[in-house]
Amino acid sequence: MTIPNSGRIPFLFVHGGLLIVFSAMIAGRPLIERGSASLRAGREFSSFIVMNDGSPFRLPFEMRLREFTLESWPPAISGAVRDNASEDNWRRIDGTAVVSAGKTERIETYDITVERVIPNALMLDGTYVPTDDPTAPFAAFATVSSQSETRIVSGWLTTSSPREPHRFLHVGDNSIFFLSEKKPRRYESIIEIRELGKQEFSIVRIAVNHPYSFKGWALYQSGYRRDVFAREDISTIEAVRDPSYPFVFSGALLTLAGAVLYGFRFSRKTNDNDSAATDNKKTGPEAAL
Amino acid sequence: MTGFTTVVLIASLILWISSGVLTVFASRGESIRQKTDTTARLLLSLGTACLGLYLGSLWIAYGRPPMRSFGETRLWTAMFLVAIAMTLEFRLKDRTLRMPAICIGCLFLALDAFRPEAFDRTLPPALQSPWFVPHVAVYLAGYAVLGLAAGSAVWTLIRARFVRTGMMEEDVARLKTLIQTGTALLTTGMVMGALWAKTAWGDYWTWDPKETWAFISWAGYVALLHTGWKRGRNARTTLLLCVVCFLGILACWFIVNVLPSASSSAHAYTN
Repeated sequence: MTIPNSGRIPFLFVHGGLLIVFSAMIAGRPLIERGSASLRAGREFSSFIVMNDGSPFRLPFEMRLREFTLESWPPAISGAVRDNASEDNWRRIDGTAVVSAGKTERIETYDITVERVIPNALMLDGTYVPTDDPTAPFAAFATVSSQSETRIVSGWLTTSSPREPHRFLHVGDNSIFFLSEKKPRRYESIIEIRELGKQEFSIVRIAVNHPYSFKGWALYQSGYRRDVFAREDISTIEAVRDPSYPFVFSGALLTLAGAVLYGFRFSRKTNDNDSAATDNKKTGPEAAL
Repeated sequence: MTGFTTVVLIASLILWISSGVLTVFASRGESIRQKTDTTARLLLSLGTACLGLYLGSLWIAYGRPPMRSFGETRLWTAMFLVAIAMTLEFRLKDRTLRMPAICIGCLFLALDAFRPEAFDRTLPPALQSPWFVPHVAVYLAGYAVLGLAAGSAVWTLIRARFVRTGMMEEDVARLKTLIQTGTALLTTGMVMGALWAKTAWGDYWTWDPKETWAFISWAGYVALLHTGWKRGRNARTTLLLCVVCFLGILACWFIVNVLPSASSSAHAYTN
């Protein structure tokens, strides 16, 4: 294949870059070490992680969780209406607008106006009050009206929690309104990290898309889970040691640069000397055959 | 969607349809009617600007890039289709791609205008990354270019079969330019996605259904680029391969998300 002079640099960048990426990924695969640690806030420093094959592994540093923060998107008001054509006689209508006080959402022929919201709510004396418990449900006080602005029903709606189920608003026997589950908006761990045998530690933040590198290991916020009984969150930190990363990253940058240069080149009018079509002025299918 | 933004979306649809009608009208007869064609280009530009305004207003209203759901990606692809066709028309002085771009673009806009999707305003933590916008935008631009290539290939094949005009040199050369540009965009999007995945999850590639189909479609176009334009290659086979490769893109874009295995995919948030 003849490479035109104008395309030599992008050609070399893309092909060389991809060669480096694939070689480094294949050669580096057996060298990658990966494991995870489940951390609870306030515990002692630990240097052990559990590798993917289940074996314990000691890191060249130790860490402990100072704080785990979880923020959720407010849930959306959703509904279900009786529909005999559906398999279970109910048709679900998922809401999308996040709940906020003072807003009205229309579902089918009903307007649902939210008057008050409590992100973490606790039932007390027949009403909901705010609480610090992160596992508590989201609660919203809402009024359902018909389109002629006739108030039909008012009451509390809640998401489910480990201790109590959803709380619905029923409109007759044919419609139900409820809150969808909370979705995580942001979760992050504040970690204290130090070298083995040293007392001084650094405080670092690890979140999704914000890993932290220390002593050749990259630490990722890979997830969390809730301990319902202890009413606390457990942060899952994944530790990865990947010696091939600098090579793969360099190859990827080279490929990107080449692809961008190709894009510039192709957006211009080019003389395609190697085009099959240039063999003939007109290449009908029968001519090609 | 508010009433105002819906009006902007419908306005861009009407402007594009009007531009399409004028484009057809300008092409009737032996020579192109320049004034009519210029008006068509102006209406197309105005419609694209309206769509850009609509996407901008969605971005502000939702507080996140409107690139998450099918409906949102359709809007971006429609805008890229028309913008890329207009750019190529300006650079290559070739207006052939305008009508396929208008037709597909109008179809996508009509789907969003008359069957509005319930847009989810939430954005999962994994998508809150500086890679999100460039990765998705580059991929959608790639889909738009390769969609134009597939449309152009189908049009050339139909013309060759029924009108018996033969495949013109410029048809195949244009197709090659589109495939090269589209493959460069797919490569850029894929590499960006791999770097993003490494930052988010510590792994470049997890072979979930979306990634597997992204790799299959990319590999298809790379194979086509390296074998499709050899001297003596049957031009009709090359055109058919362009269409087959685009089916891989459609599988990656639409079909993968409805597979049962997609529910556990790292890309499940795309509805």
